[in-house]
Amino acid sequence: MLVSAIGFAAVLVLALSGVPLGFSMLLVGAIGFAILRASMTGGSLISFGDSGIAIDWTNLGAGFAMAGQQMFDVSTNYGFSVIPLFILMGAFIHRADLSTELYDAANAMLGHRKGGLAMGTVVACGGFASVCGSSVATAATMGRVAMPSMRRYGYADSLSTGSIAAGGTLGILIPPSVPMVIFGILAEADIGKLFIAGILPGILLTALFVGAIAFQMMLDPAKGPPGERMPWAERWQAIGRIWGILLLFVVIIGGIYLGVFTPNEAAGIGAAGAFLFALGRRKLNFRNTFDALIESSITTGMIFVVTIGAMVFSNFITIAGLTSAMTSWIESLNASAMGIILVMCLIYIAMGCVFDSLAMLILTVPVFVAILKPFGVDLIWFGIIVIIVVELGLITPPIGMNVFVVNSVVPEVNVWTIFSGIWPFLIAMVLCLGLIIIFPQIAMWLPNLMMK
Amino acid sequence: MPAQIGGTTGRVWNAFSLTLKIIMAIVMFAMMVITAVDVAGRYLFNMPVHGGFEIVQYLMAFIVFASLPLVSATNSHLSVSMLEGRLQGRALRFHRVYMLLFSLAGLLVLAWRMGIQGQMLSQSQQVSGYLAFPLAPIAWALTVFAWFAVIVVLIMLARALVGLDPRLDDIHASAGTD
Repeated sequence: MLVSAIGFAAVLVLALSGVPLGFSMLLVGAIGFAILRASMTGGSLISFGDSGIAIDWTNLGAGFAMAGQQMFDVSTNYGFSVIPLFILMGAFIHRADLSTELYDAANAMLGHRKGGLAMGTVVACGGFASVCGSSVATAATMGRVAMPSMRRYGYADSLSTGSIAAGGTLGILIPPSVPMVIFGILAEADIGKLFIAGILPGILLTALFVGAIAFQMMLDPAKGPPGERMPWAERWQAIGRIWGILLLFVVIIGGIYLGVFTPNEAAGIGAAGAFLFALGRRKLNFRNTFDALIESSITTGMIFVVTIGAMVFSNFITIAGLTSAMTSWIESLNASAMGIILVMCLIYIAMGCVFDSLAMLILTVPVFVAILKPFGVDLIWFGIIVIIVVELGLITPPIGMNVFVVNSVVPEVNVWTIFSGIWPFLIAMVLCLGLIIIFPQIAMWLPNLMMK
Repeated sequence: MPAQIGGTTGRVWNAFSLTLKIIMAIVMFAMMVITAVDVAGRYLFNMPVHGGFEIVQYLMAFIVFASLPLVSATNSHLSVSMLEGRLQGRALRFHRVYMLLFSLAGLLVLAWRMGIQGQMLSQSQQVSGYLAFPLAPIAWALTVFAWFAVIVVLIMLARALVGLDPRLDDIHASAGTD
């Protein structure tokens, strides 16, 4: 217990002082493992004897041997190939430049209402999220087309930028979602079910965002004047133009839902589909195809270095007995599973101020899941909760990734103006989180249907 | 953003990184095509790619390790530093050296242990489960990539020591994990 606490502290000190998280965990995990092995065999890793300092090389070797086995196993684990393939799908979708059609279709339906262009932005973000697994990419893509049009209609900067930054977070709640994949791998939860579980909460959150905009319009209608009303014929035409996205979503998510594809296969089909789709729209040339492949490879490498580190570290934590010690400590507190989950949410919200989402998941999920398992908490449901609290971190100060992304699209708008436009969406998110905690069926209904 | 570095180092680096990028691009594209063709073949024509999943599985390891030198050279490792962007002058130089020393240690562990995995796999003559290709050469290849990454970080360390921005390239892992 003490050793693992020191191990955690060592990882945090190294990581916060600038050592890449993956290497911090790899080194501390391997050496910690060796220290524990040495003490289990009755010695210590480093001893000061008559002949000076003696190092227990056998056990030190055992620690690094464990690390070596992990790095080979993680890099050649077929189940993990879902990561590069979904990232690649996102890279192609990003280049397919679907934003205009999506935005037009959403506006055709909503644009004529008060605040309608902002509502359209949020809904278009939700649509983009259904083929993209990254919220940053969603905010960046939609920002480029939504911002100029809201400007033209005289929308307040806080409303327009806020709706893009918040809408972008739908990218990781509505499947596919790269953070969900990472959660699934770390928690050993079914990635396909996580995806399916994200659908209804994603729709709910989109609706709540639209509601948040409508609410702001009641307070200050001047912030978002209505756009043009379109005749129904044109509306259907605009919707017809997004058939490609619908098809891709239905094939991938429908395939997972019906059990036709595993998530890995869906990722491969999705990447190939996105590639053909972008190619068909004449948005790909040799250069940007190459760039998409390289960008995805480098992101993959980056994720795997941390994943290898996390696996080595969690092996150390397991033999250190941290999770069993924590579980019995929590049992002694007589806390309920619900109370623990609420505390975990608070920890995530606090961490979200400092860490990016991947780092947060890597550091917390293995431990949190081990704590929750004895309580019989449904990990799919918990996964959706984690994704929503991670989303909160993406739009809250001081480090809200999505806010900075929107800021890079419109550098002339102050970051704090964007943050000031965020709060109604934050309330919507907290509401969504509360609803899913109180009514787990919102997340669990579809995946439970799947099992039958 | 560091400028693309010039001189001989720059030319060698550009050729080296282009080679790695071409390998990664081909492997990544192959992973996508094999997975898609495998699934499509199985459901549409009842003709899956023989051992497709196994090829994908080992191709992925190539991407992971071939990207190591590039991830390192562009400083794209996931980090949660509180200090970055706040340091200047000597403190910045010290911080970079500190960070690179630990990265070097981490990469040395990767390279060293992957080599030993290769030895173990070759001694036990282990083959893959389905297609039965030998695994040792794969581990050897991964070992070579990891040693390349070690060399890259050594060069970066030298650059940091003389006060240069250690990054050798300015591409980023921007495909988005958030």
